[in-house]
Amino acid sequence: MKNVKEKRTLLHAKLTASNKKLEAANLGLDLVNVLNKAALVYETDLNGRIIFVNNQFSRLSGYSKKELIGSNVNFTNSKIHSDDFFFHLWKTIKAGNTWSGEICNHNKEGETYWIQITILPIFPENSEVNHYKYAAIGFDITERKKLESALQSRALLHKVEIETTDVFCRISNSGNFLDVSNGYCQLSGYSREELLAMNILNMKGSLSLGLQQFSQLVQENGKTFEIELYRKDYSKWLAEMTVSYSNLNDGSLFIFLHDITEKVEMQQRDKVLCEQIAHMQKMDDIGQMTSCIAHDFNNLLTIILGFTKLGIHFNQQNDTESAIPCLENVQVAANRAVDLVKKMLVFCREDIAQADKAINPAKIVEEVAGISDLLRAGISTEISLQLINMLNPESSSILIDPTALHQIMTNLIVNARDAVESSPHKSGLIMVSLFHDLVTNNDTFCSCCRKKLEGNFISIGISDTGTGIRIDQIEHIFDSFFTTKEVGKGTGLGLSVVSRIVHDAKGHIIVDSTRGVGTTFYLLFLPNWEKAHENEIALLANKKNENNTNLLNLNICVVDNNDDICALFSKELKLLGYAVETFNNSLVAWEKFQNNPNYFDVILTDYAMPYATGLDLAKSMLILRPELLIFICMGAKKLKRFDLPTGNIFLLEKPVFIADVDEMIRKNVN
Amino acid sequence: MANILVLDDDIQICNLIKMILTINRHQVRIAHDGIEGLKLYRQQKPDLVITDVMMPHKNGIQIVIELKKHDKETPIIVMSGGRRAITADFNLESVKLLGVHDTLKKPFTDEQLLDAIKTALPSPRVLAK
Repeated sequence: MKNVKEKRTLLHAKLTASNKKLEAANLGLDLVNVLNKAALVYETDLNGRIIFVNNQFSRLSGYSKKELIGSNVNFTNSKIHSDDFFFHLWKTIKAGNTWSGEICNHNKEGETYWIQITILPIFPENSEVNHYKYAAIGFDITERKKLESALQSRALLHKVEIETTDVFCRISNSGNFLDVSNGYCQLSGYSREELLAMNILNMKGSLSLGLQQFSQLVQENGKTFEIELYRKDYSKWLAEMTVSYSNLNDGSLFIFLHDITEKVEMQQRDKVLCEQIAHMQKMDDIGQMTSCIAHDFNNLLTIILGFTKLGIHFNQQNDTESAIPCLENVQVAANRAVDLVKKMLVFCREDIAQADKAINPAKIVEEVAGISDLLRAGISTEISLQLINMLNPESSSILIDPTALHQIMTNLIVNARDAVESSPHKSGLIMVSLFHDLVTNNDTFCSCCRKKLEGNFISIGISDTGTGIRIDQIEHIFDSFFTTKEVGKGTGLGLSVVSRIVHDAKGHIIVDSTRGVGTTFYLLFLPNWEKAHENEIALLANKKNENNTNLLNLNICVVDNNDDICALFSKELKLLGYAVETFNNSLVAWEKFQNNPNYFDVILTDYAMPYATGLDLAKSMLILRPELLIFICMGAKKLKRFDLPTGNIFLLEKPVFIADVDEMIRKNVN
Repeated sequence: MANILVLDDDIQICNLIKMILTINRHQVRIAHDGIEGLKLYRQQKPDLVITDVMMPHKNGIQIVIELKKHDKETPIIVMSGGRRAITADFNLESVKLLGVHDTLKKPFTDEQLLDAIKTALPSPRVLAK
């Protein structure tokens, strides 16, 4: 019986124990339930991959459990914490120790939330080494953090307000106002409550342009901008704005604003004053120019005064015969003065192209050589001014007023002289070069207007062995009033005028400068085709008479995306008696050809054209008509790179002259 | 009456001076550039040379230097209306250093011209020859 009793006692004890266990388990379960409600819980493997999360984590982060499990726990990081922060965290838990602290995370919407978290390594049963996972328990402390940071920021705002009169606010990374200074309220005309309910991106003003601009401001953290803002009553004020990340680790930004409305107004007044001064400087320029042509003026005055006096003298002696030539001389001199005044006006005219609407093409070689000769006198003998000409003096011309060309050349050569004179040697070389420039590579831009340049240009290069231009200054040299010369030695108007004249003449400028080596200004102008081919046209007109043969019933198809060239070739070919049709689009030409492949006898096409190149066009045409005679015009640089399809197909190097084309046609037809 | 050589690239100036001087009974020869002027000088030595400064080929300064090399006697009057950023005064000051007898600043009157000639020519006796 004793045994039975013992057994019972034992059983009871066991039962009690298991009951206790059950109670404990129940209690544990309750605890877990409470915990799940109050805290977020997750477990990760040793690499931080999430292997378990509770609902709370899922709720706070906005991600489903499915999304969370398997991903690395750091993907919710807000990037607010430094790398050191996480390094220290991992160092602690990897060593088997518990880490606790405050972490800011991003939820799925990109909003931040703060958790107070404890991470502990979990060890296998009966072991205190080799933990195999981490468990974390955290509490949502976002509200507390907000309060804290609001308090901090108020304190900071207060401090800043006391320290400066600047206007100041703090915004969240999505643009919502988190805090505003009294100054900001006053200036903006909104109350604090109104502002706190607003988003800076929705306010009228520069920032309302959008998030992109705003994020740019954020990226350029710490830099100062000038922006336009509007008050509640829509009046405008100008602010200097500095953006910086707050030190509150919540992604919020401090915006410091400094009211510069008055300053800007003052600057504008200054600017007006500057303009007036500039105008005076310009007048001074004109004054200088006037002294340049004072010689001519004084000559004319001498003539006018002298002959007038003589005329009066003869008149008093009733010698009308002698008096009249005197008066005529006065008239001639006066007319010369009128011309001189016109030239002066061109000099200071805003729009030089309009000064003389019917611009005659300038014979560029003659003009440039003339002006170089003239300027050589004004340059010290230490500096040699050389002219290198690769152009045909007769046929090379550009559409620019010669006076304007003189002015830009003078300006650039005087600049070159100054650059050489201020170089260490004080001596050197100025080289003026004239050449054809075929721009084909894709990275050639006008240094002034940034337009991409392509095609055939007549180029004037003005090179010096002077000091060179600093890279950071090159983009400014064409600005009005930009000058690196010492005070009184240049108005900073020269290059801005040069650029204006060049662009008025549809030209462009490329600046190539190396510090300590020298500078070259290339002026690129479109060649005046008509003029360039004037002689040829005359030649062709004569040739036509020699050549009234049956050859001339040929139909020629001219394809070039440049209308001027189309017109020119057409004119020249027609002079020779050919029938010509022109296309400025290779696809249109192809269309026409396809409709009646036998219509054209000769194709003269440019190579580089949009849609389809001359070669593509030729290949397609040869399929339909293998015996077709085709000429493709292209720049010398490209010539060698092509394998031509078999057939009557020829490459012509630009510039192409119709006389040569005519000859080739004769050789190859029949 | 004197034999006067006038150098100026401006035809009208030359004609004016020629007319003034002819009325005042001088003999006048005209050249429109420095080289032509020197040629005329060599053909017949004048009593007086009146030259402009800014001229093509050889400018007035070069003319003065060249003439002064061989002939320190013949008086020279230099006219100037100034040139590139240099005033007429400056031009004329510098030629005085070269031994020029008188200078004329353009625009000048006929009296100024005749006065200058009067002072430059050696003496009335020479004129009387």
